[in-house]
Parts: sequence; structure tokens; C-alpha cells
Amino acid sequence: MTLLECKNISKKYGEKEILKNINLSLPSDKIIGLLGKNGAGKSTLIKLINDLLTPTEGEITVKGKPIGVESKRSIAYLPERTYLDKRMTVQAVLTYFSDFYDNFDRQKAEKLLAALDLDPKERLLKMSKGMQEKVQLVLVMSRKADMYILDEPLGGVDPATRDYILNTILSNFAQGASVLISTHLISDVERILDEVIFIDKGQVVLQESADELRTREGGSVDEIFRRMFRC
Amino acid sequence: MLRKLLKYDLRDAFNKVILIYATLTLLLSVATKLFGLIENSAVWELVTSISFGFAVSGIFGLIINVIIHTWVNLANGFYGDRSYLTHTLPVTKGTLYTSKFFAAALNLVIGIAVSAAALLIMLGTKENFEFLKSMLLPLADMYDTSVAWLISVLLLEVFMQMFSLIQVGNIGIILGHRCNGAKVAMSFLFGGCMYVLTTLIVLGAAFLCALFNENIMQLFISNEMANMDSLKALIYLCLGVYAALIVIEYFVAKYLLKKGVNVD
Repeated sequence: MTLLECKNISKKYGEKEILKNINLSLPSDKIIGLLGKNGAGKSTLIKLINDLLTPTEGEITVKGKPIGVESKRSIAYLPERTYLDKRMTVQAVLTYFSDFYDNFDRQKAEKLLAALDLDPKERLLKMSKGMQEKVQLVLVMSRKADMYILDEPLGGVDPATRDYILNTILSNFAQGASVLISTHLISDVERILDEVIFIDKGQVVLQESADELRTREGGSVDEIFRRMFRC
Repeated sequence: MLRKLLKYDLRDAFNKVILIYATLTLLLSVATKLFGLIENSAVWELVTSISFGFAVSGIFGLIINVIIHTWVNLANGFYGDRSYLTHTLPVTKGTLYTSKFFAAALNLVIGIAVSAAALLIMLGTKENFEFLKSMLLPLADMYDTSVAWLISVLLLEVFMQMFSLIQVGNIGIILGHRCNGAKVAMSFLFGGCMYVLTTLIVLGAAFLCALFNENIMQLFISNEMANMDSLKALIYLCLGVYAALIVIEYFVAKYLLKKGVNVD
């Protein structure tokens, strides 16, 4: 079943075309890697899906409906930056998510945060950036969403934290949901991917099952990516 | 959802602006009053004057901060880092704006009410009341109304003008962030242009009425003081035009947001 569809999506900033005629169809129940070099257009595509950007042309649908209130209920999005009000306590953030997302599992979030040894009364501004990112990841993964969109969740973190992030993602996404992970650190996520999308210079150059790609091209996804996009 | 959004918007403004500036302004006005009650001496008169100056600054600071906070909150919430959460909440952009609209209105009402209360505390002596009454009573008689009604209309006029200013600033921010670069500068430019435009609309509406009312026309063609009848008509006209402008500005902002945002 198609969960998310992009039809002829283009995004221009003035004369500069960031995305060119993107056509994508993302199925349910898959972990999909959105892979591309820095500046390939991964974040732009993700921001379009999350209504943070407006496409110059084309349409995006989630479960057959255009981007809107319903799609925002279905999608749990982790951006590459910290977006929470840093004066809020962890407890207040949990209340905020409970207030707005009816699919937010507060107990699950509390359990995951307890594992991080976090004091619920602690303000976010007193935490390190890494810890704030972990709190955000917990909030996102505590939603029973149809799709989780994670933009560079491994960017700028140490290997141990990468393991924590990947384990949290793998053990917490809702059954039957899809996970779209955007990254350029392919070797770290390769083991968990069902499907891969290669994006380059604003265009989708490949969308295929990770296993089929490995068999056809003879090598890991990381090696294939390096071969295809060698500078 | 609107109720929940409003709760957070109001709480944010209360914590950042109202609590600090309103408390400070009221404390300064009470202090000014108390210093004024102390037996006259040169030192205490000086202290009272300084305290009075601070309290008046507090009043201006409160109103200005309510306005600036509304703009900064909109810019951060809709286009800054926080926008990554704001725009992914399961609510329409129209509802997001409606919450900001009502929060700004309520904060401004609180700001004006606190300012009026501070003035009342500081200047609320029997002599001052008598003086104010003697100034306003003839005006009230001519309008066939009470002094209280006159003051209420004056405060309403202040509210309308300030609120319209907030709205044009909001539209400036929304338009500025539709540009591909220099978004802050463009926000100021659009906001400034919108302010000039709304002022021209108010003036234009007054001129239109002047075409049918000689008394109002006198305001445009001579520098003589207008008679009371024309002033009364002008005040009500301005109130009506500002009310219409606020409604139009609200729908323009919602329409612009409905067309989508481009967050950096």
C-alpha cells in the first residue's frame, strides 16, 4: 500500500532549482534510506513533505490526501535541528506533545527518558545539545505514527550515540509504519534498510529494494553509493 | 486545538512580558505614590520624580514589549527553529495564526489596562480627578455622554491603533519571509509599507467622509480647530475604519499563510 506519494515535485528558489520533477512512492512497513551527498536535496524534500516548504510545482499526498492536518497526524518528524522551547522542562514538553498529538504515548516516552537518567523537572536549556536531540528522538518515536521521517538523525554524533539512536528507532517505531531516514552516513544505517532512494542534484536517481540493489550491483549500498557519486 | 494553542501562546507572553513588565510598572507606580505621600522635602521630591520617570518608562516599555514580543514570537514560531514544531502540529496554519491574533489582542488589553491602572495609582488624587473632570466634562456634555465613556473611547482608539500596528507588522513578517533572501530586512520594509498604507486608508476614509461633511472638511482645508461635532464624527469614523482594517489584516495574514511557508 502506498503511504506517501510525490508527483512531479519541483522546488525553486528564484532561478535556482533545488528539486527537479521528483516522483516517489513510499510503501508502508518499510525502512527506507533517503541517501545523497550534502546539498543533494534530501532535507528540502523532507521539508516539503512536512509542510515547511511549499512546492513550486507538483503535489504530495499522504494516504491519498494532500499535505494538511491529517498528514501531520500520520507523520512523526525529527528535524536536523533542535526545535523545542529550551525554557521548557522535560515534563512540560511531554504535556505539550500529549496536548497536540493524540497518538503520543506519554508512558512510553517517560520510560525511554528514564532510561536516559533524565530528571523530568530539568529544563532543556540546562542539557547538552546531544541530550536535547535524544529527548527529541524519544518524543518522535513515542508517537504511534504511520510514518517516521528522520532527517540526518546521526549527523555529528559519536558512534555510541549513533548506536543508541538506531536502537531507539528500531525498537520503537509503530507496527506497520514506515521509517524514512535521510543520511549521508550510509554505512551506519545500511544494516537496517529495506529500501533505498538515491538523490543527487535534486533528482531521484534510484529507488530500489536494498537487497536487490546489493545483489544486482555486487557490493554494499555504501560501496554502490560511493561508486555512483564519486567526485 | 485553538484553545490549546492559545493556552501556550498566552503562557509564553505572560512569562516573557506581562509578568515582568506589568509587575515592574505597578510596583514603580505604587512606589511613586508612596514617595509622594512622604512629607515634602527636596530629596523626596527628587526621588518621587525619578520614580515617576521610571514608572512612565515602564508603561511605555510594557506596551512596546507586548508589540515586539508578538512580532518576535510570530517570526520565531513560524520561521525560526521552533517553526519545525509549529508547522508539524496537526492544525491548519490559519488556526495557528488565529491563536497568535487572540493572544496579541488579550496581551494588549492587559498592557493597556495595567498602564491605565499604573497612571491611576500614581496620579489618582482628588485634585487630579477634579482637574480631569473639568477638562473632559464640557466635551462629554457636547457628546451627550459621560466622562467615563469618553475615556473608554480614547482607550479603545489606542487599542485599535496598536492592534492594527501589530497586524501590519505580522503581515510584514509573513511577506518578508516569502522572499528568497534578506528576509528580516524585507519584513521591516513590507511592515513599514503596510503601516503607511493603513494610515493612508484611514486618511482616505476620513477624506471620503469629509466630502459629505463640511465640518470634517475643515480639518483638511484649514488649520483651525474643528468643532466638536466634526471631532465626534471623526473619532467614530476612525474606530470603524480601524476595526475594519483589523479584520481585513487578519484575513490577509491567514490567506498568505494558507498559500504556504518557506522555512530556512
